[in-house]
Amino acid sequence: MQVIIPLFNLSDLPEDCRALTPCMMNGETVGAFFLSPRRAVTDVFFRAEALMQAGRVMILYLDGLGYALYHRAARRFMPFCARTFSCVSARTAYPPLTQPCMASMLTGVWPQTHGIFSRRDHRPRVPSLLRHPGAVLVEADSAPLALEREPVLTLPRAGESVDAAVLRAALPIAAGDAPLLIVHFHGLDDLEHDVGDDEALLADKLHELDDAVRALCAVFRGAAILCADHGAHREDGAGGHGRFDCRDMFVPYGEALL
Amino acid sequence: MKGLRPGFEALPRVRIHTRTTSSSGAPREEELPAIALADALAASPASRLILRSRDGFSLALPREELGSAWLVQTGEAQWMLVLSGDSTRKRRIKDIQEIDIQ
Repeated sequence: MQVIIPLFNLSDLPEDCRALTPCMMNGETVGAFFLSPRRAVTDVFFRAEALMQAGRVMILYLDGLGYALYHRAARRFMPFCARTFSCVSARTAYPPLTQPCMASMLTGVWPQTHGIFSRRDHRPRVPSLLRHPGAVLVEADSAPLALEREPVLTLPRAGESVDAAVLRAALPIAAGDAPLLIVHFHGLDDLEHDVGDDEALLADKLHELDDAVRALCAVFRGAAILCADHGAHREDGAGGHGRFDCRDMFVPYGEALL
Repeated sequence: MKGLRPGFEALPRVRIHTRTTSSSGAPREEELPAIALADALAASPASRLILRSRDGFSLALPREELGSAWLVQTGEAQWMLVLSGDSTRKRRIKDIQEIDIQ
């Protein structure tokens, strides 16, 4: 059985070790966490709900940003995020794919409850953060999930990246009065599928995301949550995700009052 | 189907060659009979289309990509969008429910 902690896959651990927390899917154990993770992506839902009692909330959702990558790269390539959010590791849903993990982030429950297990599933069975009046979700050119409100879909202009298009659409909303804004940047995940999780090859994209987060934080007043859905690992010359692997299963989670 | 002109099913079909890549498997190459989406639309878009599938997926398609967008029939009254210029899996939308012309 694969056993993981935020930065390592562990081997040769006895399966009767009491410190193991199993990760289940459809009644089967897919692996185990050594020591129960303190944070989970489901916290995004509960923390957003709580923070909305006090004011506006902005969720900065960096698709594909694993905790191991963030831990290696944040100080060099994402200095604003590192300085502002003090991120800790959070476990994500299994399988670590956008649809199940995003659904867990936005509904607060795991796949067996929200019913999203694969890229083919789009409609969670339970309410999400998007049920709140005035909540806005900004996406790239496609919406992985069908939630209570239509997302803002964005298309890049000539010479513009997908994330720049998302930022352009999100900035006026961040400066406005929407009680909840979720900004989903997908460009890192796209790039990881080509080059894997090597921070040197991802440096430009990480810089771009750091700048985008800084720009949004500069115009927003309220509480911000920085998070991701899943990480990625290198395999066969490219990158992928979807395995019970520490690089896929742990993501950064941080909050800031702006 | 909302967004398509009545009787679009009778438009001539051409064979398109598509190549689909996936991070979890080998690329798949196919020859499919297809209708040009530009011919089937009820109106010409000013900027973009929003395509929505019955299972809840949605995709924005810029007007500039209309020339590489094709409709492939997958069942009775079931149509899939294929973008011949893009080989990623998300650029296929199965069972399109409606097309919002913007």
